[in-house]
Amino acid sequence: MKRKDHPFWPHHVIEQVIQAFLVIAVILTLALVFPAGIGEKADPVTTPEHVKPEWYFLAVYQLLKFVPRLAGIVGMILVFAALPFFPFFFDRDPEKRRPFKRPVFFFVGIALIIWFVAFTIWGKIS
Amino acid sequence: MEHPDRKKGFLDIVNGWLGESINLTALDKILSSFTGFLYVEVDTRLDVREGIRKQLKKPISGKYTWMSCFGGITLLLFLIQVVTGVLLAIYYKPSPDAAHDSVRYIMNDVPYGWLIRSIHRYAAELMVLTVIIHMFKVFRTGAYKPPREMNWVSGVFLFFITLGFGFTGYLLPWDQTAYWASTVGTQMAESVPLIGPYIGTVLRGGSTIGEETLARFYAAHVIVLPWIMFMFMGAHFFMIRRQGCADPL
Repeated sequence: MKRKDHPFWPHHVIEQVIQAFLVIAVILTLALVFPAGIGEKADPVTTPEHVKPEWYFLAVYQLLKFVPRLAGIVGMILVFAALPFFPFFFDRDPEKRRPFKRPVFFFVGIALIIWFVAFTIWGKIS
Repeated sequence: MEHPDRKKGFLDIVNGWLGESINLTALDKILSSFTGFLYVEVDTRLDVREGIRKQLKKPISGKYTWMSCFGGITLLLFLIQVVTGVLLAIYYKPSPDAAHDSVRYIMNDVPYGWLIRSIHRYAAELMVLTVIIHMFKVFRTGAYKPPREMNWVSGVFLFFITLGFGFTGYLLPWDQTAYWASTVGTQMAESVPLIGPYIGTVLRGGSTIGEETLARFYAAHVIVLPWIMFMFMGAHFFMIRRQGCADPL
């Protein structure tokens, strides 16, 4: 069923409230079942054997293990600099929005997802 | 005889029920009765009723599917972070000698401190996740195309700021993983050609992670980044409300 426009009040607000309760339920469940821990106090003299960043930096961290550091860093900066501004230069036709009408961008997106998921898992288990 | 609500989804039934029982006039009454004379005094001078009605009446364009929820969830998670973050800041002490002990104190002695810190931790990780899903959804549907490029720009900066929150917040408990992850992280920033050494010095306030670094990361985490975040969020929401969501595919 297609709902094109729907009012902010009360339709959108009730949807937001319902999803807010669901999200709060998820967070409370996680917090109650697996409370956050804390490790040993930081010791600048002793380097631990395995140093890993948080999971959302793992994909980048894992990639930088396999490409030369300079090339990896420069590539990363270029990607991060291009990300905000590419809509001003590429893929601009507002008529072509379905994924298969702009295959290049769609497959770049798919490749990014696969890289992110695969390298995050790889970084986690390695 | 088929019941008229049988073919409707759950949300439609709730919406229909709410639409009948809470209309805008009722909302006006609720507002004026709860806030009493203050609301009347303000409204006679500034006519806020008109503004509120206008905003509430303005429809959300486009189709609300389950993939559309992640932007709103990100906002909710950010608000949770503001509240729990303020509560944590009451007991947290940003110095190498006291930081670790103060976090242990929050976990073991402060009433519900363990719960507040766990919520802050999980909401942070979920927030990164929902930002990424929201970005891919916008990318897949091409919603950033003209005339909405500026909204994409502000969104990407919000993503960077979220990562900045994660990076600076991770050091604050001052445990071994935090210390050495931040060491590796700042070393990566340092290997940027030309300006890298300066970035490293600015981030750390020295050649290694230490007292200066903790103070800097704390200031960034609780003062600088939140205010930048508020500004970009304001722009992000103003633009999407002004332009409306992109049409469904």
